[in-house]
Amino acid sequence: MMTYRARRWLAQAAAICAVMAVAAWFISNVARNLSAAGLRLDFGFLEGAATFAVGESLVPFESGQSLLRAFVAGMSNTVTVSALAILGATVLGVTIGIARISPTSLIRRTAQAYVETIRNTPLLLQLLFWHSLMTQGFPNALEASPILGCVFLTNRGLYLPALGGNGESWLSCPELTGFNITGGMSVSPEFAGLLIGLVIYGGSYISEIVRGGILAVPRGQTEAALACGLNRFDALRLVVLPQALRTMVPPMTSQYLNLLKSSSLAVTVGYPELMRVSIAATSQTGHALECIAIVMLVYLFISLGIAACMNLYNRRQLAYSVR
Amino acid sequence: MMLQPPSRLAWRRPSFIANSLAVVLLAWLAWKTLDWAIMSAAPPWATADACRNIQKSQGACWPFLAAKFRLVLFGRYPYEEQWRAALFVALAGAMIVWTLWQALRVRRTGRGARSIAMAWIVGLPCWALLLVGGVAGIPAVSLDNVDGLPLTLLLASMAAFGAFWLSLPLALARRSELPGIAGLATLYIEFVRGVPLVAFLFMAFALTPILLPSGWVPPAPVRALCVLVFFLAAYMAEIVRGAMQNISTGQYEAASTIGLGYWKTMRLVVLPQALRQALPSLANSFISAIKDTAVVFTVGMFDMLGAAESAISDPSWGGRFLEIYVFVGSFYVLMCGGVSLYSRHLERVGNKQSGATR
Repeated sequence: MMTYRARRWLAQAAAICAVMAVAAWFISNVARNLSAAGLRLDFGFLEGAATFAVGESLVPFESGQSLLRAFVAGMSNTVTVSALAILGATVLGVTIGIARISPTSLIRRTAQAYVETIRNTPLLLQLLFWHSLMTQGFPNALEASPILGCVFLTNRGLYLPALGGNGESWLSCPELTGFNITGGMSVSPEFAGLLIGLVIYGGSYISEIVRGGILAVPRGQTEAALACGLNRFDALRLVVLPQALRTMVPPMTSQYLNLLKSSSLAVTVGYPELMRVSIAATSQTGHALECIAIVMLVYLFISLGIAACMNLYNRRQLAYSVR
Repeated sequence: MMLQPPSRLAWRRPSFIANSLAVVLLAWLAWKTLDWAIMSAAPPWATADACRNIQKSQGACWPFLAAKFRLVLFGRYPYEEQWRAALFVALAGAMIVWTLWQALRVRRTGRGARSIAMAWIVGLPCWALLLVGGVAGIPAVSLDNVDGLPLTLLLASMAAFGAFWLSLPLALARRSELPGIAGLATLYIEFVRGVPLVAFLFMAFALTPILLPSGWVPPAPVRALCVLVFFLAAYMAEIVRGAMQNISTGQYEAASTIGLGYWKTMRLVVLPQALRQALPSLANSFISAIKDTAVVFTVGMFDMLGAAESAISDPSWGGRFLEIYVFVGSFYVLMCGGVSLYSRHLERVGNKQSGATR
């Protein structure tokens, strides 16, 4: 009979060998298929010119610039929409979470029904709904009537006032000139639909986390705050929420990561974020493996980075808290 | 409450104002919804002409849904054989409900797990026969034509089933004290949890010509199922691992005192307790499995969402979309809401059994 230590080493060696054997099989398949098709695995295609355009981005990109720049533009779009979605979802989630513990039964039950409906429908269905609403539910530019004189909701985008007027006023208002609306700043319907869908979906999950965190704070805290003369809202804001934050942070962080990964669903609504740029690059150059590897590495990097920060924060909280 | 103003001044409390505003807003929303859905809408038995005068935003056009609901539910499944798909949906739904109910009994008494396994092992080939046919005189339907609600149910239940069995060894491996095995499991779980599902689906559908030997082309539902199984297993493994961490070390020590080895400890002592605790969270991950099957629409598979999109793109109905989305959404709410109620019931029962006082 082998010793205990020998058995342990044998088990680990067997597991690692099995995994490497499977990996080797895949790699041999890739090598054989690539050479049969005459392709090579190389990242040099990134310097080639892109034949597609990236509609909107913080990094301006037009068709003909390098594919690397296209990927950077896609990445900036992902980060933009994820950051705004995280912000909006947190605000909405805290509001609905507080509504879910309201003493008024009507508000509490309506918030519960709302959260249950949002959480039980797939995010993709909601994104398609908001996208359809943005592109077909609004009139076109000629028929849109401005709200408050400065906001146009059309099927080609939302036109909002922008700061920095042209010398006459603080805001530059969009207005109808000819067949288009000029001035102000415009938000494309894809971006608006994606953002609203993510905010509402993420907000309902965050509302559950907020509610759980608030309920985890002992009731004595609320009662003491009310005894000191604070009204319910101030008691919540000054006493309960700061203590609830500690319980809320880990699940909140995983929800933020989920929002980041869910932004990749934008491939169906036409917003040019990283996943969509990668698919366009694949269909143009045929280097599917490299493009997918780039996408996976980017998402992994961001996810592991945020998770590492969360672990650091958690460890500090455990050190400071009285257990 | 001692420091609130007397009740005749209650209307000046800020909470009263906020609550009244909220009530007014909700009443207005409810009125608008009722108006759109019923009062200004064309009933489902009307003809298509009745919808012509109703604006998209003012009233629903239920004849649109009546004309399209078979397409949305069954996709490209042959028209005459759709009774088989409907029968499959009924059977699969009944079996899932029975499994969840039986899991309650397993949780209470610890027995009956074998009957669940037997039912699924017998049931799965029967379903395959019903849907795909090809033997015993049942006309064959290509697996690529299984769309809509049967595809959603098939993917969700088989993915959850397979992922569950894969997650148990994964969780054990992640908690193993052998660094090699624990490292491999951690690498896999962290990698899968860091990348969105769309990337994996795209990899499975665009890279199979490169990754697999030439000539191996598994049908699309099989590829989607493999991706879903490996994806969900990582998340379920984290849930099981968390439940295993909650079990006190006294259990492990007592088991080794009696002389149980590693595998016997896990099978007889640790996993039964861990799975009992993890059951509400595992039910939640079943809900995620149902919703994740919708993502296969991004790689061109015609699940319910894909069929809904093709129904909406019919230009003769004037670009209406809300009726179809409400229809599809209500199926998802029914399925996921049911499992969610079950999961909440489990948590309540679990709290009572473990002596929590709230």
